[in-house]
Amino acid sequence: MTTGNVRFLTGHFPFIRDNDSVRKMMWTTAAALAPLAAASVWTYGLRAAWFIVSAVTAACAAEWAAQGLRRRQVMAPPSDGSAFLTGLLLSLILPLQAPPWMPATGAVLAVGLGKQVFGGLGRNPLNPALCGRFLLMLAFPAAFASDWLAPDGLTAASPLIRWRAAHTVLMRPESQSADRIADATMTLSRLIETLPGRFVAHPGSCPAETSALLILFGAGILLYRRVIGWKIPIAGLLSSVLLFWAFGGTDGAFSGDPLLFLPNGAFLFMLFFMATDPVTSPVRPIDRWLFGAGFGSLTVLLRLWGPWPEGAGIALLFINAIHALLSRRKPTRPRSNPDHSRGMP
Amino acid sequence: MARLTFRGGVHPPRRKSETQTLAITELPLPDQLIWPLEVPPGTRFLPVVQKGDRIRAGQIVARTADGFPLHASASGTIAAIGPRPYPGGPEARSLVLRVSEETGVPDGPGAAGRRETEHGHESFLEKPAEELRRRVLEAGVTDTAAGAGFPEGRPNPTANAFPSGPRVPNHTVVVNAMESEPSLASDHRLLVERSAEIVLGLRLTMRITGCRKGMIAVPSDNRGPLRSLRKAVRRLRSVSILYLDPKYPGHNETALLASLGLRTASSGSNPGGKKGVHVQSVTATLAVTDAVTRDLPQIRRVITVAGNGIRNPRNLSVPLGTPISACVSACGGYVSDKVLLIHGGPMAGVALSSDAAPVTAWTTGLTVLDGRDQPVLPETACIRCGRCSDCCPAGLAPYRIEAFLRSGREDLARLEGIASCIRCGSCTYICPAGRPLVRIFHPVPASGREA
Repeated sequence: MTTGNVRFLTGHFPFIRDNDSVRKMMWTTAAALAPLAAASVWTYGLRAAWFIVSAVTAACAAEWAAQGLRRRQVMAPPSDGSAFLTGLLLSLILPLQAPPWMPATGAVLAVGLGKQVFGGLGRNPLNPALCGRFLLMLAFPAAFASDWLAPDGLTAASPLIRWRAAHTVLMRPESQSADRIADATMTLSRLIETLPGRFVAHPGSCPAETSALLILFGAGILLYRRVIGWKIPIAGLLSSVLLFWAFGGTDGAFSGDPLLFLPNGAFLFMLFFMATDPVTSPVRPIDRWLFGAGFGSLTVLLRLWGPWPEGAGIALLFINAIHALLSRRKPTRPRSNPDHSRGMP
Repeated sequence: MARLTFRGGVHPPRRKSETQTLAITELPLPDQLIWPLEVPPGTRFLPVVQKGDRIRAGQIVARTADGFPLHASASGTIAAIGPRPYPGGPEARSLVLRVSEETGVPDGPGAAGRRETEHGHESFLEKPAEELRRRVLEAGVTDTAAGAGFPEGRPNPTANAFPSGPRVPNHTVVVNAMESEPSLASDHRLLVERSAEIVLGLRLTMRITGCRKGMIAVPSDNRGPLRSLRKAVRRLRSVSILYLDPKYPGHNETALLASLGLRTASSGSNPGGKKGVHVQSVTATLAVTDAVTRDLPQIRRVITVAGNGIRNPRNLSVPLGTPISACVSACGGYVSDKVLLIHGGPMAGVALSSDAAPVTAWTTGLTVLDGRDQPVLPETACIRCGRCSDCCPAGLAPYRIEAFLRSGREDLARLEGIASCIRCGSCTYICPAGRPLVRIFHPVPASGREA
């Protein structure tokens, strides 16, 4: 076929594209979360399974309904994976003692008020799953009373809460009895001693805290597949460790043991899976460093002096909001711009 | 030492393993040649011959107002002077030559059976720079927008080729053999097959521009075949080979200069000139040698014809003005009746709506993609992942510019630096949401007679 009936297609460069897509990114993230979700089901049984299934189903249904309402082209609900992911993330950060209807309710709030009211994927200022969680928390504070539902069904304090209680005691030793001080010291050393075991299987107050090891495993997948960048996690880790080392100790400055901070609570989970959400995190390298550092340090500050033992969620919402406000700012300074460089040789 | 490269860029599949091994072959003269007189845009050649004139290969057939010549690449009769398709737009005023068979062509760049540059040629380096410059300009050597395929190339290449009064004294000549477009391998083949002449061309250019240093920038991923090039520069203290990271768009002049640690103030024409660096394509460097040592005008060039839509990819030496259809036939034709014919490479080339347009000095190659497996990309919402910003060689934030342009805020897009866009298409290549960023920035009209 050299002449004649050949049809020439038209188009615009580039004529080849990278084969990654938003959809692949979303499903890769969901896959990276799968081991953690499975571990939480294994640890907490049907309760965690119900959380995950109901939240994911409700999130997909809400996405589908919202797209219909907004007269957007209705896709098969989980097709781009973002609603699925929101549901999954939400189910993992809800406290386990929450009533069974709560994950689905939260998922609808997350997708509806957290994302679709702003215009859908890519336009939400705050992380939708976090939005869902905190809307629930505002509406039903009782369910978020910070007690830990142990795998055996008994209620016991999570490591984070035990640390916080001990820390509070040790910060004001003069007003405490010797017994309580000894108790608190004991608690802290126990927390350090049990760390290797808790690192692998580390039941906390929500499914996301099941295993720090699996969180890091999932994070490794995301970093390797370049779904997330490394600047925000590194900045978050460094800033929180440094700040906790400086102020988190009970023997004055620079006596804090980061091991009492990092593995506890949902910080690691949120750092790798939620702070790196492209929609609600910045783009420029410097902004990414600041964003990660802001999240890390705010979490430390809230854990040390905030009203609740866990500060990661609030810290991330806060940093999301600051980023959303600041991202409208100054234009990007191009590396080479004729407009900016008049008069240069 | 850190790898020499620029910030940003992408890694499209190189697809050069086959094309880099194909020796350059000479295309037989076609029946008809077309020489566009208004290419690239901004240039205007005025014919000095008339319809019906019999002309000889190498004769000057047109000149620009400032005297820059266009040479006949074959002998024959001028059959028409009028609008004909050309690779950068629908039509341009062109000279059409009916080729007569009895007269041969002088062999131009890329001709087969080339002899090594003899020692006698070294004597040309002793000639005064002014005489060399005159010879080169008389031979119609134009810089071919180094490795281009960039839709608009340089507005007026003749003005930038060998500027007589640069604003900054030149100190270095860089031969740009980066060829970062997938598939294209003509520069690589020329470096393999004609290294001695390229090095001589570089040294002549250094003499003409008054530069003391010369560099040949090549991608670092396929050094083996460049043995003869290394041999050619071994004893020369002023000339060196630079191995640069083979990422896209390394061939872009702004990116190339950034790889050398030179920030340019402009992505417009001739950014190197403002830094005292004269960047020149391999083709132009060879043309300098031919012009000086053999009084041969620039009437041929080497192009790669590749892609999964062509039966036998080849590196062809073609007379300028050869219809693209003749090149395609020489490569066995199209594999299907639906193809994407691209002037240049797949990253920044221009889709042609007909193969009647001719090969010009700015044609680095032709990429033919099988139209049957061109994916229809769904465009989804921007999630601000920032990959476009990360890979933009100009340091722009394409996602922000796109948002501004889509909401009609050209003023904000200008503030974001859209004028610095080098049109490499990296942002669009990498976008996971499949957004046509560069098309929104630069809505280049489809070439050919598009409805």
